[in-house]
Amino acid sequence: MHYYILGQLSVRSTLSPVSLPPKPQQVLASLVVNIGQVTYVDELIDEVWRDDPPASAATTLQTYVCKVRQLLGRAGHGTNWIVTRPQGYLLQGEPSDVDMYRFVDLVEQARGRIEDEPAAVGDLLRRALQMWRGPAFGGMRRGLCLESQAERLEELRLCAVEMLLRSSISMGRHSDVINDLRSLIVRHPYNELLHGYLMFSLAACGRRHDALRVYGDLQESFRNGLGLDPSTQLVALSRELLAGSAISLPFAETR
Amino acid sequence: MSGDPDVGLLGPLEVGSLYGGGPVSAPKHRHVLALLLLGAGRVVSIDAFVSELWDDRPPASYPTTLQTYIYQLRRRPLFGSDGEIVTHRQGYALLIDQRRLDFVAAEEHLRAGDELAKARPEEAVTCYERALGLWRGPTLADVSCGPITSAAAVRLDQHRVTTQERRVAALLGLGQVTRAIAETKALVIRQPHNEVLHGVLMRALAARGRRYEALDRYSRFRVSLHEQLGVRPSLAMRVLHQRVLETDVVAQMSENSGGRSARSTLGALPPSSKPPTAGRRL
Repeated sequence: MHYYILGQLSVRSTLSPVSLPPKPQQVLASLVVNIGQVTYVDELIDEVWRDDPPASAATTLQTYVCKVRQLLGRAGHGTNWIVTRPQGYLLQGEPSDVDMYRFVDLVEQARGRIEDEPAAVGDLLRRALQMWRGPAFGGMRRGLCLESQAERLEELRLCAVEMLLRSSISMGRHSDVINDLRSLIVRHPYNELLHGYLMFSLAACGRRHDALRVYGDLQESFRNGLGLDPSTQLVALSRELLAGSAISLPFAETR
Repeated sequence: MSGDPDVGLLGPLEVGSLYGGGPVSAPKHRHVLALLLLGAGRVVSIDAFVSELWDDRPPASYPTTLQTYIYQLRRRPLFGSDGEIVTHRQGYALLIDQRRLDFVAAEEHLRAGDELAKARPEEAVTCYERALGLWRGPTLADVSCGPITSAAAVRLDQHRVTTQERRVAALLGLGQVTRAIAETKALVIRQPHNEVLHGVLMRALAARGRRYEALDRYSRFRVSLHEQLGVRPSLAMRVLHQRVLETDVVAQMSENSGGRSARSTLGALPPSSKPPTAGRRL
């Protein structure tokens, strides 16, 4: 059985969203996140009702698990996917049955090879990013557990995007990334790393003037919008551009 | 260490699975065992049992009842050849190799990580991750808690949070900034007033060219502290905020002195669980 949470929650490969009410859906998503391990009743109650569970929470939870079992039974030829354990439930399966774990695995592989094998890294990251169909746990009711997972995954997604850009830059594909960077900057107007990458790529294509214009625009929007100056890294890059000296990719010392 | 810990409280009570003891299903038995494990190597007094199991109002028959629990537990092969419950004049003691206890191991890994943090940060991260990996679920998940066990659960959970804080700070120090951001963002959902985590998150965001988000996080943190606890951020946090505003320092903090000084300042903060009165009023 396969589970998909990088977008709306779905089961198997049809990718149509599961038809469950919001709370049973939350229960299924929590079990999916812990696939192959016990999810404890207390954790599920905490996820579904947070600090304010009704007196009947434990019983109600059982009916939710029952609904989830029925759904998985229909989808998976009657197999009993959810095993009852003392104080908890276990969804049978492997992390690799869930898209989020395959995504995380690809990003980790890429992270380990970013310096030495930019081409391979690019392939890994493109595959990883293609797995996303919408926001993590899209449209779902979320408690603290799912919220934490969603935050982590959305952050890793941005990290994958940034690594992909960096691998393209280190392969010298500057003109390819310029358009991507411009559209990303529309969505993240105050992200200095993206601005730095864009300035670097433009300059690497021989467009130092355009690079400086990007810097000027950022400087203006920082001053007017935030009352801040650009960070030292971008200031340094702009000076290198003005001086016509060799330039280095900003934010390169972190990964 | 002789092997992985096989007796544990960091999750549901775990004993005897290797020795055919089977799960300990009676709640009172689990409760007695939890108490003995927490006091492993020391005598747990009869008073402690009375306060835990009967909330200081024991039935007249309690000495017999307690003896029966102990007798029933002794009959089962819970700990293999090493580990036995001995009777004392004041109570009972579980004699067991401490290295088999998961909560002892977690503390050891945390301490080992702290010792390595400066000289060999990558190994420190491994230590912290080993400690965190020992949690199989919520601490003491299936033990109904009395005063001693509840206090122990709070203490062990605090260790868990401390280990998480140290881990993300070490990742940041190593320049593994994107990983530090992802992990810290996930953690602050449950720790909305944790200054150490917010400090790490702000520095990490700033180091990846996201000062705007670092500042936004700070202002949300400040507002939430004020509204819910009536206090304002510590001096260290306000200094960090100022540094992010001023563009300097934080941007280049992979392993240089800027990063370290911020970490040691933040490391010296009082724990987030400190009562609100300890902070300064606005």
